Amino acid sequence: MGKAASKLSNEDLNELKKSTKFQTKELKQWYKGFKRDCPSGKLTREEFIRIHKQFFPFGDPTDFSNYAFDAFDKDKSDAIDFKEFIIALSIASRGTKEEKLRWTFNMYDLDRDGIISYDEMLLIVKAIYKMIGPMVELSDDEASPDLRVQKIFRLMQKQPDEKISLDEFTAGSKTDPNIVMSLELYSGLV
Amino acid sequence: MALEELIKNLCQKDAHYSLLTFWHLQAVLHELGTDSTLNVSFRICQRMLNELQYHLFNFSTNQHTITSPQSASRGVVAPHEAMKQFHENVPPSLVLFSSVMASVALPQVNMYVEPLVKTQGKQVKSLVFEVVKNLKKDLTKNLTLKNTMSNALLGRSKANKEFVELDSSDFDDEIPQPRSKSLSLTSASTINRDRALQYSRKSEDLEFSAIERYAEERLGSLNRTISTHSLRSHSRSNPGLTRKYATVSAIYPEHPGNTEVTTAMDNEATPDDGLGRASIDDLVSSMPNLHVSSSRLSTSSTVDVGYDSPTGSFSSSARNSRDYRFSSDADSIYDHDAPLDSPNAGYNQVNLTAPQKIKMLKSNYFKCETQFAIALQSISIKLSKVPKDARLSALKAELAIMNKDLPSEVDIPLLLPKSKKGKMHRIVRIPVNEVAVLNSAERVPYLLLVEYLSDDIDFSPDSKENLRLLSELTGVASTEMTKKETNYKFDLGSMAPPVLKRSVTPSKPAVLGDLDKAVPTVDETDLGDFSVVKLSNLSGNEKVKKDRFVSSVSDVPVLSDTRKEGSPGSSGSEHIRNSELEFQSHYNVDDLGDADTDLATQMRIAAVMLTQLDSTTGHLPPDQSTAIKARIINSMRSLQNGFGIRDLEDIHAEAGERKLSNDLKVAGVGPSSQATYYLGEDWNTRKERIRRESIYGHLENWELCSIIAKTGDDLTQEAFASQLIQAMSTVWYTHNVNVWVKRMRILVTSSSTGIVETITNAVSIHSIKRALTQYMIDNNENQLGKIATLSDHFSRTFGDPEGVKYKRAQDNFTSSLAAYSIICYLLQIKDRHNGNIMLDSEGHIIHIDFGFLLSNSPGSVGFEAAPFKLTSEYVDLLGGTEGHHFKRFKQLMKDGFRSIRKNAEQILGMVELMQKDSNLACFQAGENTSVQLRQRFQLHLTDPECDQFVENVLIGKSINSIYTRLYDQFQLLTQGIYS
Repeated sequence: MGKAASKLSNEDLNELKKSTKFQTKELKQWYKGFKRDCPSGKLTREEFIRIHKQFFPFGDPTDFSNYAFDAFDKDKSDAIDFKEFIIALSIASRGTKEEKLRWTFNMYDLDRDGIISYDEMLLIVKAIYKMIGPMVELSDDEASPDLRVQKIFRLMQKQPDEKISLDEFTAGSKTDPNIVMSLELYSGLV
Repeated sequence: MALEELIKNLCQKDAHYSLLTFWHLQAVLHELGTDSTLNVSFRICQRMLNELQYHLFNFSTNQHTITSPQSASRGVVAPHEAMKQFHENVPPSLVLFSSVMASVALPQVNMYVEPLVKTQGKQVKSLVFEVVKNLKKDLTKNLTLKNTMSNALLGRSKANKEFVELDSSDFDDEIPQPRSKSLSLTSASTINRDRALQYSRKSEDLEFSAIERYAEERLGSLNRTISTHSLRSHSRSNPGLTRKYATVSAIYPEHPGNTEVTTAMDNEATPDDGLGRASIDDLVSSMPNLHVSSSRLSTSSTVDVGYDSPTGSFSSSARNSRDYRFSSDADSIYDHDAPLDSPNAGYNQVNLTAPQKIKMLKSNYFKCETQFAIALQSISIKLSKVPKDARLSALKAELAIMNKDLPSEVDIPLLLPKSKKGKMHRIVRIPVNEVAVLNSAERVPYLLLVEYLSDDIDFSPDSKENLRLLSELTGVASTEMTKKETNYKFDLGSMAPPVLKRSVTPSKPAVLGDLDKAVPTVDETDLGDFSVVKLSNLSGNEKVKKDRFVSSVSDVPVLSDTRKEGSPGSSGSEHIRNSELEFQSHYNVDDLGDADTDLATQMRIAAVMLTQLDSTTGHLPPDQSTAIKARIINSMRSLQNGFGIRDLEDIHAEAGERKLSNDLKVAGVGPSSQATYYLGEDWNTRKERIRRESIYGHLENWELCSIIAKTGDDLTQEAFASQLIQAMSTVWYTHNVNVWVKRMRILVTSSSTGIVETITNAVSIHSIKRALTQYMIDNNENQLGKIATLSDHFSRTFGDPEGVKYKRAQDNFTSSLAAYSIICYLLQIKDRHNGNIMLDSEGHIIHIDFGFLLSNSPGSVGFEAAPFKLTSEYVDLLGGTEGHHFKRFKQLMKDGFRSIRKNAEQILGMVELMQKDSNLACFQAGENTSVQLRQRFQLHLTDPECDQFVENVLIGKSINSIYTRLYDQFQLLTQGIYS
């Protein structure tokens, strides 16, 4: 990857065309954009966190960005390269609900054991609460991370001591119109 | 980026806001354009301006994309869609991803971050310019035009050149912006580069010698630019057609929105009638081809006019050609133009939906608005070419012509009192007799009153008035395609004709004068030829007008006589004599019906002749030319009295007085020579009088507003200064500091023009003193010929010094003086001679003219070294240093300074924001400007120390400062401004 500095190789291009929902032209443009924003071709964890801080200046997005970074960084190289970036972007912007939820599930499943525990969910929710800071007004039944996690578990029809599987996660999320709307918010934008 | 979104949103909501933004951006862009660096802010501004322009003026591209399937095949990019795209920006995409991931855990995250992601994602960076270049090409046209023109007018050829380069490197297929007017014409129509070349070749063919030279001159640089940029996008155009195409497209932009181009066209087209006609015929025949060959043209012409050019329109060309025959070129261009609209209009009308109607109304409003602004500024430019004595008459003539197009959908945002939500004022008339030319060395600002109906315009698509307007706009009203209708439409298209004509004379000399001397300007031919050229030029314009008269009124034979007399003019002086006679007889013969207009025309001719005389003095014996000049001026003067003759009969008593004050205005020495207290009338009486005179006066929502139109100054600085002052006054208001500040309203319409609110009921101290001194001498109260003092004025105006009225005036004086003292100190407002300080009828002192503040000062010498102006006269007025009012003044100063210090960051922030990369004169010290300002705030002092500082340093140093006295003395001696 390091050598293919200025241009996307045909190999990569073909591969990405298969694995993403982007056209060749779009891939090339995004590649240019990616190279412009990260000339090294790799986006480090620090940079990733820094970017999130720009968007969430009133909170502390460090924890959440770390989790999100791990979701991006499939090959655990501690850096996001263009392939990882564009694949994730493809999912987030053009993927189906199911695809998005699968990614989300994988991200929430911090210990990668295929199920999400109450504690895992709590960590994620806490990180998000920290990230948004005072910027979003929340209703009373989700005023704290704990309350929110309890609400999520109710949504998934689970007791706090139970764990959520991917299927339950997907099915449960789809029943909440807010979640669905939020998932689809950027569809067609990119 | 977020700011951009915010502005855009605001623009959508408020029409005035968008106009203001539009003008400001234009000004800023101009300023940035002179930077030779290709910087980011320039691009951002440009992009925004383009987009704004799209919203303001473009009606039909949008409509077309909605209503017509053709548009797709034409390849019209809907700019909207293009702009809505999410571009290749990594940071927002990352956050986008994260927020999607966070959706399940907390969907609300997106409510917050979504707009951020979207706006950030829209950001277009240099790499993706290509994506939108087509759309930009279309949109830049307007901008290109305006800038070229204003540049040309100001003769800033250098700046322009840089601008050109910036422009062309930004967009591959943007044509370079030539300095010369002939090519600016080409550029204006957004013909691509090769066509631009073709066009210049075309000009050569037509042997327009002036253009030819220009073109050749420019050709080199054109070529250079071309070589640096690819021509690929347009190489497909048929070379055989391009030539004609170029000509045609050069004519396209002659729509009302684009009036400046026409100017250039006018000038070029008129020298040779025969050739011109030939070219038009050429043009007509090429039109069908044109349509087939390129859709691009139709899109580009769309942007301004608001009408696309579907196939049908070209069918009208045959009929047009008939029109060409009997009128001159300039004329035929219009005629040709207008019918182009008309078939479309019918076409459009069918598909109009409510939002489209609104859009149409809006774009019409914007068009009128911008044209009004252009008209005002071009008058000013034109006036500067006219000898001083004749300026007032010329101004009246111009405004009389403008009046013909009023009432129109014009408002002056910002200046007129705040209008109700969603409503706009409508300017109905400019009372010609109330104008005044203000004196200034080079520039000619002028004062005019504007009658308007408040809250008379809105964009509701269903109101009766708007429906009528819409039908006019769409041409439904008259389906038969008569010439009358053509003219009518054109007329309605706004004030295009006056605008045009106005710019004709000024633009030419300006451009020619400042560019290369090698260019054969008409000035260098001998007088006989010269007047032919100039006058045929003029008559071309007059013809336009004449035609309109013929169709709209009935007949104006005398006018055409003058013209015939003028054009073939055998020898300069003889011909002038003829016309002069013409004037006289005209004046006598004319009945009231057309008096105004005819006179206006006469005056205009006279003014033009004067200009010619001025520029050609070399060819005539000096004494002869002076004699002629004097005669013309005399006849203009006598004509001038013919204005509004009906009104004069009604108010004969006041006429003498008015003339007196008019004379005073013309002859005044000071920079501010508004009607003086002792001669002029109170604003309310004046308003009532004008209301009686006005035919709109009976309307309930009739209002009057007095404004000054300025050209040549960069009003951005003035506007900035008044914003700073406003911010300070808000601080005082919220802190309950009882000081008084006048909120000046300044409207910037471009980098060099603007409109300033007139402070009614206030006169400069200079004028007060001058008039009062004279008055006292006349009344034998002032044997020694001493200059009157302010105390004299106060006791005269407000009566007994112990009386309530006087006390109140003193109070007002104190509170305003305290405020302005702090302002002057903090902002280092300089050039504080009495011509720049006014007193209103309640005793408030008001500072005007913020040409020097923060870091610059007149002559860059520290003439006015005192913290602020506090003369012994002021102190006297405050009852001496021990008096009650002086103590109150000190207390107010302290309170005011303390509260402003607490909010220093706000003021500093404004300055810091503005000083970045700014070319404004007040930021001469660059980054140091705000540093120095910070020092003046004395932020290190405690409150008691600060009070001491105010008392000892500020007031102590200022009081009766030797510097202040020196400066006033200097002004008295050099400028005749009374100290």
